[in-house]
Amino acid sequence: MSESVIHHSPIHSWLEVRNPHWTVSRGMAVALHFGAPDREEQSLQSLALCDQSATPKLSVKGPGAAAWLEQQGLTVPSTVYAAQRLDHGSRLFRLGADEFLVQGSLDDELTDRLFRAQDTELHDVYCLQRQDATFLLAGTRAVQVLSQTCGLDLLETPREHLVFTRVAGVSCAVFANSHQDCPTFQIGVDPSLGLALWTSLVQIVEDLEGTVVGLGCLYPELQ
Amino acid sequence: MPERLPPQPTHWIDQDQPITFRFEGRSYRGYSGDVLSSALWANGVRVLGRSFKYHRPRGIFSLAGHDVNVMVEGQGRTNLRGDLLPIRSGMDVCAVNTWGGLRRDWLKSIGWFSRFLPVGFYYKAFHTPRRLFPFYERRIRRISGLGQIDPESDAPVSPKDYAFCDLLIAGGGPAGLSAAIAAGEQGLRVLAVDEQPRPGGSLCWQTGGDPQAESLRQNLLKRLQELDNVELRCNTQAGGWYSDHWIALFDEVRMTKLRARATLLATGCFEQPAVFQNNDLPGVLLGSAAQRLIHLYAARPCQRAVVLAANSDAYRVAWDLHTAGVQLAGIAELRPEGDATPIAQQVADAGIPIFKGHTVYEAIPGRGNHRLRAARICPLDERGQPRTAHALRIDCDAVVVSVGWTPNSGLIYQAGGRFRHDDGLQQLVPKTLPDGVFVAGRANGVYELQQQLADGRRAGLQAAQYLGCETPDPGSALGHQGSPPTHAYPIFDHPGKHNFVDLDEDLHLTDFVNAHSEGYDNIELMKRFTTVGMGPSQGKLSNNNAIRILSQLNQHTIEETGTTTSRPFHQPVPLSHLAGRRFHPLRRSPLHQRHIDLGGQMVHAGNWLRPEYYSRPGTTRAACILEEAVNVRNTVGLIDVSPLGKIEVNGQDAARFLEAIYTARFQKQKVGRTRYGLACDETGVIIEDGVIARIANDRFYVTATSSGAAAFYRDLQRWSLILNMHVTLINVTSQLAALNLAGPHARTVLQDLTDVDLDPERFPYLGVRQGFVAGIRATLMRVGFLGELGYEIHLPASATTHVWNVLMQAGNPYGIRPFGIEAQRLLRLEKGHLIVGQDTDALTHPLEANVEWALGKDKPFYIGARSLEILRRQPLTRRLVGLTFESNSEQRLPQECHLIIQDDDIVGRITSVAPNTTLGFPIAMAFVRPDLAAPKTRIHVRLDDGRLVQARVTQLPFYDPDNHRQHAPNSSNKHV
Repeated sequence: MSESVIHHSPIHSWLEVRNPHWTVSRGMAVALHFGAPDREEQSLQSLALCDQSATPKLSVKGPGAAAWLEQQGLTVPSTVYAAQRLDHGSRLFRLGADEFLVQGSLDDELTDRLFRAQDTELHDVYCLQRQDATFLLAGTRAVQVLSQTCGLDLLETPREHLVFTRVAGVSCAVFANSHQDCPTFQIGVDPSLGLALWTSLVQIVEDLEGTVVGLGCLYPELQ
Repeated sequence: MPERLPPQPTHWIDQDQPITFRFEGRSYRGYSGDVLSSALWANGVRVLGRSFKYHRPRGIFSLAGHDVNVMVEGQGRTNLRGDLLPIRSGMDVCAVNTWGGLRRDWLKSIGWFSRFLPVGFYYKAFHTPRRLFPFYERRIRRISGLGQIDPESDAPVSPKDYAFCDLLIAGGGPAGLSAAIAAGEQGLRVLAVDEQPRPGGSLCWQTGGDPQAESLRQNLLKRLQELDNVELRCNTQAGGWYSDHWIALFDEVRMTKLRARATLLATGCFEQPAVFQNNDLPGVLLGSAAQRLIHLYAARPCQRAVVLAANSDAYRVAWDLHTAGVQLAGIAELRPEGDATPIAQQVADAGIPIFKGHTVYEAIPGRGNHRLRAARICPLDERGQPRTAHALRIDCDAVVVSVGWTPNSGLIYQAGGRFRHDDGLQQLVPKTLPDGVFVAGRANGVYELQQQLADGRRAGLQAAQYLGCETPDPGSALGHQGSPPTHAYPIFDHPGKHNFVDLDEDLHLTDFVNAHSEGYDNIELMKRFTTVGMGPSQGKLSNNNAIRILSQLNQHTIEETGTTTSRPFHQPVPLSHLAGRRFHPLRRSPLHQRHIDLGGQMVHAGNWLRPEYYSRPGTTRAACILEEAVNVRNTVGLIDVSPLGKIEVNGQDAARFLEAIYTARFQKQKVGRTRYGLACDETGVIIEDGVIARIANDRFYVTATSSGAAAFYRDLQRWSLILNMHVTLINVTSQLAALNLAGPHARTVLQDLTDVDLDPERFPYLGVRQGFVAGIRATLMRVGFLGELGYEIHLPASATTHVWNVLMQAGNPYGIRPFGIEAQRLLRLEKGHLIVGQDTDALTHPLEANVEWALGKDKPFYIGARSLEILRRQPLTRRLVGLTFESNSEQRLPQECHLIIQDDDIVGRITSVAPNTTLGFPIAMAFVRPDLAAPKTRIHVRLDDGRLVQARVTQLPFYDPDNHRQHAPNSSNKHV
């Protein structure tokens, strides 16, 4: 980790104990992988859990938010909880009439650009760089983990929609997607509850013979 | 295995896989697929358990888990039902509730006195003298009960899970399978569950010699397998039905919380016992149990049997026994006309004697009641009473009872279904069902096999229609044809008083007669007095007969008598299944691990885990807390206050909105300044307080108490709608962390790390600035909660560890130490600052809490203002004051919530107390009656042990009343 680390994932203490291979992305210590990278990649097909908290997130709220985002060249979803795919794997979620979440990717400067673009004199638009913990549950058995923790039928939710529900007793935002044709569920959670949720998920994932993988599986360019 | 039969076409055992297990210290052999009861029975063991109260020997009765004759414990688990417990290699179990082993069981002597222990005896005999009741209770629990929990044993974690489907079908018998196919063919997502290890229900064992039964079962299963949208789960019972088709499913490992869109209950029925003398002893068993032994476990039920019959099923049982090589000594047929079905003729043609219009009056046991020797049968008179003068003794080792059925109606009742009594069936059948609930098969009063299949299809299609499918015409429910499958009153009195109605609770017929004569003539009252149906079987084999007995005693119909309430769970379930995994999420600061590394003793503070203090080797908790506080007073300390509620209030109406929420004024608040905010509810009760910082004209940053932040944020959202104000609220409580650097050296430590000018002239007390700290964008507030120079630093959560480490490093030359929430509470108490929720309660208003100064003068409106105006015109009932105590270390001090006593009246209570302070003497805050609130008034506080401690009312604050220190003291200023 040659770049200095000034940011930590909400579950950094857990990751640290597992002694992963580290890298630094956007000033945050990132667990690249815990074991052999190719085996971790295989786990993504069956059952794997990955900490994605390093991905940048920006909330944009206020009566002028939708118009401002459009001014920034983004297509704004028309319905609440709908997602709009953006370049580089980023997404724009509509959380309410006047509330949006931009989920960036590690190799995209979109959230930084938007944050810089907010004019302090601009009224009715308020941006916040969110610190939420973000976990990815991936693989064909991922739904079994959710069936033990979540009272909502996530397989029945519309595509490209964010779902607000509870997972293992924690209020979460869940986004169902896929990775190389395998189902994935991205779970966003308040950072103060990140460790509680993560430890619950790890226990179940490991009971189901899944594994924790590093972010290198999803972002090979980090390696 | 002397009673093992050759392999049967439908058996569940694998005779190629023998298993050795132990029961009551002896070794036995069974086969894979055997349950404990069947394996022991096949080994010729007849006494498998002891009864609850009289410790009478018991054997197989239902072999379906509908009774608890065979309850065992071992290897850390208890109250396991032998009828349902698969044998495993190395299993070692004993019967529950015995003293000296199952066969000997010294507690059987209680049975000798059963005549003197009628129902209600305990209530009447042991309630006086009251002091002896614990003694009696312990003894009673020891001699009559179930298994003992092993406290050393750890139950494995049982994961709960959630599942979803369009249609749940409870019951995998002919009707359930037929319904699953019909609904599945309509494209519905169907989940069918059955509690047995294999599907098919009665098709597996109630064949009556019909070879088509198995092929029919196979065909049904084959069709189901072709339907990808239908899932069939065996070994799974639907244990409870809750609102909106939420059903609790239980299997061996877990509870599944199923949400269905509709429910179809094909739950079948329970075979019911007859009541005659010694009807509980080993060798008396239900016809269905005998058939299960033969067909599922290839075990011979007995050598020579008498069958007590009241329906055509009894003749199928007789034929199965005959085919299995059991000698049929006779069939006592309760109906004078007998049975006209072909199977009955087949039995008669085989030369089996049929005694029409007869009953089994008494089962005659051998020595020790361990085996039957004979049955005494009697003809019945025209009133259905046994004519004992014409009794006939028939030698046999078993009485096989097949006199009727009762629907497995628990889930139907729980779902809101109502029943009526069908005289043609002599059974309760559903009268009305709630929306989305369907019933099929025997639970619906349909008994003939082809009709069950048709009824299942009908219900499956109706469910599909309900769920929006366009289906063929489902038709209507089919009615029962022929004679009733259930006898109206198979209950016979006997002077011996061992004619049991409830085998779980050892209740015999006379117990009910006695209860009725004492006035318990209502089914719910009788249930509670006699405890009928309150045993582990939950009345599956007893409620029906109890209702019949009461209806006859009252001369009422069954419908007039009614039934008891059915509640989940339908079958007992392990508590570990209900507990499941433990999800108790607690919030953690980004510095959680850092606190632990520094010796932080973490405690629950609301739903957060926070360091109470940082332990130091050889130092007590109290000393650590005091040292931390002294360090803040003298040098500098750092506390993690990340749990503070943090809310952004933005928008053109932000100031107006805050003026409505808080008691103070904010419209003229300058940018860069903070104010104390006190929020009340509509009744004037204090609900929150915090700091309100103006960042820009339309942007405020508000803090709130840690435990109240979420609720306060919701309140703000609600009020923004009610008041129709243009504000944008953002809850940043966990997005931002917060650190409080406090103490005389705080400015010195911080100055080199930030671009914000900390000069007291440019950044005065109650100021707010934004800038960078250790390279991280942060908001800084000059606060004085602890009574010292202090800077609250609010920053992104992910960078907190970095900033904490830099601050600790920079403060090292000045003796910086982290301090926990106990030191924080102490320091603010010395300063006389209240904590909402600790020094206030659900009725506290500002006028009595010494914060009247925080109420804006002449404000036209704020929430609670009108109530406070009314309260202002009324005399106060209490006032928050400071207390001091004698600093004599020998004196015990009160704790929070201890009462203040004056002339034997309660006149107040302690809200906060600190025995060790930086002031050198103990202090407290308390509510007292207003006439006692004047400084120097002496009051008395009552301790736990009743002693009174003297205290003196003191002016608040205790520390630095002129606020010199928090304003900008010289950094070398030492307090202690």
